[in-house]
Amino acid sequence: MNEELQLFSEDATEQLQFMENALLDAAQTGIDDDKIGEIFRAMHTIKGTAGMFGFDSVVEFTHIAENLLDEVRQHTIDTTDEMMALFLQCKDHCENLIELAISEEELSKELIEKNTQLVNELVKLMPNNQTDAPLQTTEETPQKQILSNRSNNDDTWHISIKFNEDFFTSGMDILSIFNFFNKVGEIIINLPVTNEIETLDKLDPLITQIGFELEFQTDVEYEDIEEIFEFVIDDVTLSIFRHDDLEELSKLLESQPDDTLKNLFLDECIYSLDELEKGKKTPEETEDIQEIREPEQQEPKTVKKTEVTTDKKKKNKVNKKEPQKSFSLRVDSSKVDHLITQISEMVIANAKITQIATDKEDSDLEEAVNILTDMLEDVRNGIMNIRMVQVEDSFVKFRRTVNDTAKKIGKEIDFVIIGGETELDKTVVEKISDPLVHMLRNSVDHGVELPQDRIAKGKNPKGRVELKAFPDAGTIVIQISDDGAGLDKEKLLQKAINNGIVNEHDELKDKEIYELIFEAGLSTANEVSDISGRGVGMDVVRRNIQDLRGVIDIDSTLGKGTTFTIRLPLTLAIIDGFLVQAGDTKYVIPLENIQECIELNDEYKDTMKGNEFINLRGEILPILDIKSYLNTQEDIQEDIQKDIEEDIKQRENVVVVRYADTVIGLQVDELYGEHQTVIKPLGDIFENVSGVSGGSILGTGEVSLIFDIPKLIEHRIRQD
Amino acid sequence: MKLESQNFTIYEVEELKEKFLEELDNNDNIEIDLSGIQKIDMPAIQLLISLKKSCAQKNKSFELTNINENIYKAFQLSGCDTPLGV
Repeated sequence: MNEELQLFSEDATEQLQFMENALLDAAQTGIDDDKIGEIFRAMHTIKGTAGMFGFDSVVEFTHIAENLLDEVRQHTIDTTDEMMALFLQCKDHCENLIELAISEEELSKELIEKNTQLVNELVKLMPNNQTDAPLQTTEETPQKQILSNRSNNDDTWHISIKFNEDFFTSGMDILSIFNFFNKVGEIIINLPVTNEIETLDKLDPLITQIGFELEFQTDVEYEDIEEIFEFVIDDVTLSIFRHDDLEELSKLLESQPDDTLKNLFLDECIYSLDELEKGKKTPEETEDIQEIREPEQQEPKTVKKTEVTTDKKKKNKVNKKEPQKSFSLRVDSSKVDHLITQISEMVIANAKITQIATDKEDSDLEEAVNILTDMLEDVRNGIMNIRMVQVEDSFVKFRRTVNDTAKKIGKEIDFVIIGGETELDKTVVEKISDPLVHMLRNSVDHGVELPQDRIAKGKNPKGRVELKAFPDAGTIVIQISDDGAGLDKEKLLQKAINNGIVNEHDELKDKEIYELIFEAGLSTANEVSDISGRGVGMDVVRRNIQDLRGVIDIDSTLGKGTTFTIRLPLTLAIIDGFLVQAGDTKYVIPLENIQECIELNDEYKDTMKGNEFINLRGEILPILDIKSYLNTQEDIQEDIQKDIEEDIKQRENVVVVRYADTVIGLQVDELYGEHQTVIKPLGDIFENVSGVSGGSILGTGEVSLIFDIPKLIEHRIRQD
Repeated sequence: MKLESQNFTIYEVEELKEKFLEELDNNDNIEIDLSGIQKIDMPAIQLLISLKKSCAQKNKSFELTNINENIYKAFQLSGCDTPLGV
């Protein structure tokens, strides 16, 4: 998929999501103008962008849906629940159409039938049933320009298009763009500018040398014309102005290296010599152009082209346009990451200045540095904030999951989202989505009972599933709770014993029993449905959450329900660590992995007896000596030699770390304490160093390495 | 010469450029038979315009023949029917 198509796909997915959110919201809280506006805009945007790629099936379908939405927006018809349901179907249908269009597949028979059915239903809802006739999706059937009935207007625009030389290879088809022009309006004259095309012997056929000058008639506005180029806007040089805006015309001509364009206009009678020379208004003399407009008001216009308004009819049109566009900005996340890296380097540089100020006892400098420090902190928080998004958008998607799942198995569920405004790092939100879907399905499938069972138990026949997010002590907590049957401890334990996961004689606490559901191959659902209960799943869920440096907890009461609590770090870019030193290098150990720190005194050393184990309160604790793990033998010998020479007696410590159920001790020299740090990726050289997940720069400018505890543990366990 | 492939698009232009150059060396009257072409795009149209320019430079004639409806539509849509003398 080329870049433009990728963009289109992403954009369309987002628009469809907007649409679905608005529709689902409307189903719950009632429809209002805002929501209709949102649905309309989404349809409109999809139509526009699909048109650029020549995805006719999508354009034709969305056009009809858009027409109806437009009527709804103008309040010429009232909304009904059926209509909303129909729009939801349209949304799904669009999704299918877009998918097929992108993969360049033919429409299946069912899809064509569905298309016809939906179109008919949409048309039926139109006032007086008099809109565009239902359209076939197959390209073969010749058909009227579907939008042309909209453009009985008197506005002619001049559009000058020059392409970047690598435009052809971008994969965009210029002919499709023209085709789309003809749907938005009508190309009256299309004048290819061929003077730059070289003769065959010099031509590189992949370099774009052709340009175009269009006379285009439409009733849409400047922005709408520009929007046609939305995905290629960086690859073209455009000049769009009303035909009689001679000032813009003269600007265009002035930007030309020679008179070619001017002569072309003259030869083709697009502009008269007067118009071309004077750059101000004269009566039109164009013969070729059928529809000539009255000259506009006489005062010279220096304002933007878009502000040119003509007659009253035009003004009405302007008022009808959508009140606002979204102000959100789409930025490559790597740019934000880059900013974060730079700001952390600034923090380090600033720390040095602070040090100098203190050393010099220069109070003025100190004061200035203090201000700078505060501001840097603000900027850093601000940048971190860019990555934060409200979880709402992502959570709302789950409503459909819950509804669909419930419907499939005949359950009634009230799905409640609490704390949608809670903010979380975008990457975390994306990655947590799949596990949440899985868990919600589980809650609906296994948690909540069937309506008749609930009535028998004296519960409300409608089950309740709650998805809640809230910040708590520097982390974000996401809870999924249901008021279903709860986990059956006995059953769980029995199953685990049967599967050999737990020994029969083990005595487990309630929590430990609940946590068994995260073990692979353990499903308590007696019957495995196609929705959940295949025994893979919860273990994957837990692993996903751990990958995000999060933890998951279960609480359950038999007969009352189950609550899953996920605790996630606010962001993946910052880590709460513990700073230690082994040899010459400083390392950061993620705080959440640390269980305790102990001093490796002689008593412990005695128990080691040359083995890499110590006896920690009666338990065997495997020890990994960081110095020998990450350094060569020679380095260590050298170190020891140096220590002996300088008569330093190293104090040795052990940091006890835990991941999942495994505990090991990391033998290090120095403990420095807690340290919040910005994670930076390491270069390619470190690619094959197992056990190090990233780097971080300390206030002193030194580099410290961040340990990947699961990998270290794996390494140590494998040694045995 | 008759174009053999069904498509005359960006994927074919480089190869066809070479063929056109050969044709240009060996003939005084360049005639391109488009009867088999089902699909054409802008890089192809640009190549044809370039060929026509070369013909004019060398005082050779240039003609496109057997233009089917699809191709004619593409020429019209892009306004290139006139420069190509169609």
